[in-house]
Amino acid sequence: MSRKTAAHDDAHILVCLSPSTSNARVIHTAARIAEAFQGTLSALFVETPAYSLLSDDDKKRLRSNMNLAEKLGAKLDTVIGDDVAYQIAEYARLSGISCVVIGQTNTVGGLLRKKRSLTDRLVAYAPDLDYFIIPDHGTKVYVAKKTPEASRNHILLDCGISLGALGVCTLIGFLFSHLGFTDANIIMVYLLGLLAVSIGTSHRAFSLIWAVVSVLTFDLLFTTPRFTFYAYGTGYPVTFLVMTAAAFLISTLAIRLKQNASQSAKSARRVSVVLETDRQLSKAKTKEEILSVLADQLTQLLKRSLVIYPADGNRLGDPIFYPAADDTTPYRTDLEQQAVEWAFARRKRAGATTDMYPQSDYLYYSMRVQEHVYGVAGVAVHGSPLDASEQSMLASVVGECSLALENARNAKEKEESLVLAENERLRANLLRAVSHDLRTPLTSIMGSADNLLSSGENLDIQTRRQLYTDIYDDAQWLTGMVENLLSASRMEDSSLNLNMTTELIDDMIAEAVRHMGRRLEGYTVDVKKTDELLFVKADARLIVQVMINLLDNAIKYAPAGSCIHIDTESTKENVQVRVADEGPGIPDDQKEHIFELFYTGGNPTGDSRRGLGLGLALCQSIMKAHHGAIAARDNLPQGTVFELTFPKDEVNIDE
Amino acid sequence: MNKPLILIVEDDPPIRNLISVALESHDYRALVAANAGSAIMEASSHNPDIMLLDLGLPDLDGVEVIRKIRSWSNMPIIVISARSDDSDKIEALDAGADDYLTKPFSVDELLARLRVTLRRLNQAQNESPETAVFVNGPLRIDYAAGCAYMREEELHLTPIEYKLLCVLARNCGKVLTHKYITQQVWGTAWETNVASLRVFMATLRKKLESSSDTQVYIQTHVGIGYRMMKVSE
Repeated sequence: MSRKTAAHDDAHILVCLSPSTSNARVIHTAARIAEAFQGTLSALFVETPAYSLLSDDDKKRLRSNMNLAEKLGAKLDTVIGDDVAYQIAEYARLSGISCVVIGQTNTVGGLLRKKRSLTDRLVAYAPDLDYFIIPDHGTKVYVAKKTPEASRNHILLDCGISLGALGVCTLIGFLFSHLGFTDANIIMVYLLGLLAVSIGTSHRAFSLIWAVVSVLTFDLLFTTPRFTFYAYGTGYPVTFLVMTAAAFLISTLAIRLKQNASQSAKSARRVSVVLETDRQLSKAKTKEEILSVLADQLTQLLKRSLVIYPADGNRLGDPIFYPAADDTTPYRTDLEQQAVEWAFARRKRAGATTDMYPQSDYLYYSMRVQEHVYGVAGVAVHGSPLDASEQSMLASVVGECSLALENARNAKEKEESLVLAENERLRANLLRAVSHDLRTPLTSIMGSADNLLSSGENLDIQTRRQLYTDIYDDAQWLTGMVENLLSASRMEDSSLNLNMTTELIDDMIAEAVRHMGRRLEGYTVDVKKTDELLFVKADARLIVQVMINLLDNAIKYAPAGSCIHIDTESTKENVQVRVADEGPGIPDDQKEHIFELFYTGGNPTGDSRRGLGLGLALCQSIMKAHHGAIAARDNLPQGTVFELTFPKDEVNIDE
Repeated sequence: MNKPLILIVEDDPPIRNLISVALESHDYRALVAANAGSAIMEASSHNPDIMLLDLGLPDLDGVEVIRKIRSWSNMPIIVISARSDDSDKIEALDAGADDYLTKPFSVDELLARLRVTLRRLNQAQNESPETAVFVNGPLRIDYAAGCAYMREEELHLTPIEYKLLCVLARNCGKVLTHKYITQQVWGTAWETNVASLRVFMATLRKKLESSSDTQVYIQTHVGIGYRMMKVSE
């Protein structure tokens, strides 16, 4: 991203979200400011420990504020932290925010940090930023409502813990008083018990009640006169007061400790999820692998059903479903399709809990990097909305995967262009070699025909016959080369789409021998057939071309009158065809080069023995395309054997 | 016997010239047409014995010419194709062509194809179309009895092999595409049928050719199909 131009051009406005009713006004103002500056708009919600205490109405309002911000073009983000001002300041610093828009009462209640207003502390943390503070007259001041949501079971458990602790402390108290320890020790035991209760129970009321009850118990049981709430010692009222105050403080601290622990656990989980996603994505290379990482991470994280629509060019592909174990609700494709299409086309969120298609069962995120959308990921909502931290985690994971998809696409494009360049190079070489080598036979044909035309009647029969033969042979050579070039171009055009059918090896050998026809005159061709019917999956025309090239090679080097052996052999998995000649053989140091393109065996070529060094290279690439191989070895006592290896094909017979 | 009349449909003058010279020097009469329109006219007015048809014509696709001719005539058609791709030949054969030649071809090859076609033509004229017995050299098929004999010895064929043999025999001398044969034998033309066809064809051929000498009864056209050859007595 290159967003470091003139400061004015890239004004980046940050609006702080809250569940407050006045927040909508703040968001509108921020959007107007962003428009005026022609800058980008981000919207941030800081999830504090108090978030879990918000009422359902507040949560709903927060969601609608988020939707509003998004609709006005803001990029949504959620961070988790205790200190709202610090989180905003950090976010602004990391995201290059130039201006912050915030409501005056935009503070979430917290007991120990109300001394300075949020804006004051924000300014203290980030003095360089511009601030727009929207005053908030007349609207209801937002206070986090505490909604005890602990279930009955939870309360019973907490009561049990409290009573148990009281019992244990009282028992120890009796033990201490029996042993003659001072009251201070017993008080310490009760304070310890209070600490345990504060940590062990879920609600602060338990700690406070426990504190009072423990003071009363102490008064009842351990102060003289015993078993009355009356105490003789003059210091006791102070002791009770101090004990109550200490109890109150301890419970407050313990609860904050607990909240902080769960908070940091949450943010640690988010970091670890994002890191894990990154680690897995670094291993994923193809689009399919990346999508499966995304699905794995999200289902593991959210325990909800997932649907992914990968983009297929400029349209959406078919959806891939990853249902959660307990989700049996059918996917209503017709209804969801609109939300998906919208999310894809507008590159925004859509579906359940947003303003667009809220009747959907799923919430859809577009997987995009800048302007390019790689697909749409949907998460099942089914009436239970995702909370802010889940949404932000979802957005991070989806974002990471979109980036990975973009990287994969770029890598693929790069690879393709490399292949293209290599093909281009080969094509240029081929063209050069072909045009060079065409000249020789064409010169011979033209010259011979010219001789016959201009002075044919003056030549004796034998000379004339020689000229005719030359024309015929050169034309034949050209024909063979054209066949090879055609095969080569077919290989290039359809290297992934060969016309593969089940073929009988014997048929292809017979066809190659038939095709050679008159050229094999003077040689004995000995084809050994197997009793077994051997089938291979092949593009028959190309394999016949391979065999023609091998036969052609054999007669090029082996002396006339010698024998060419063709035999087939079947091993467990392969079918092998061997073409053996009785020529001079190939020296060992050349064997590894003969399949290279334009290699002509170090012979002075072009005149007496024409050859492009195309035939064997073509044979090799054809065999590779058939998942087979070609190899050259020595024939005994002399000559060369070319061995073709094919994977065997089994045939199921229709009776 | 009259010299057979061959209609040459080819738009390239040197090739047309080459073919007509080759034919006339081998006891044929040649008639030439440079495009589809005149080809159809010549065919209807002179009723040639065989038509040599180049598939790449300037005014109409060669396959269309075959379809037009086939609507009123069964004259043998041998197509000539310059493409190395088999699909146009297969299309032409399925449209009703009898045989094919690929450019570049030698004069020998051309003459051989003409001989095969003429022999079939003569036989067809001597036999009534609904004969109950098919004879090709030592091979005899008794359609009524559902048996095939080689040198008066019964061949032990599976039902599919017999069906195949009948399809080939009824079209003796014609190149039949894989599609045509599988449709005749199985009623469908699926990939698995084509693979099975190769197996049955190989076993059938073994049965035919092991009991006789080196005669070739069934010719394989790789990538295209099969043909039963008329065997000389």
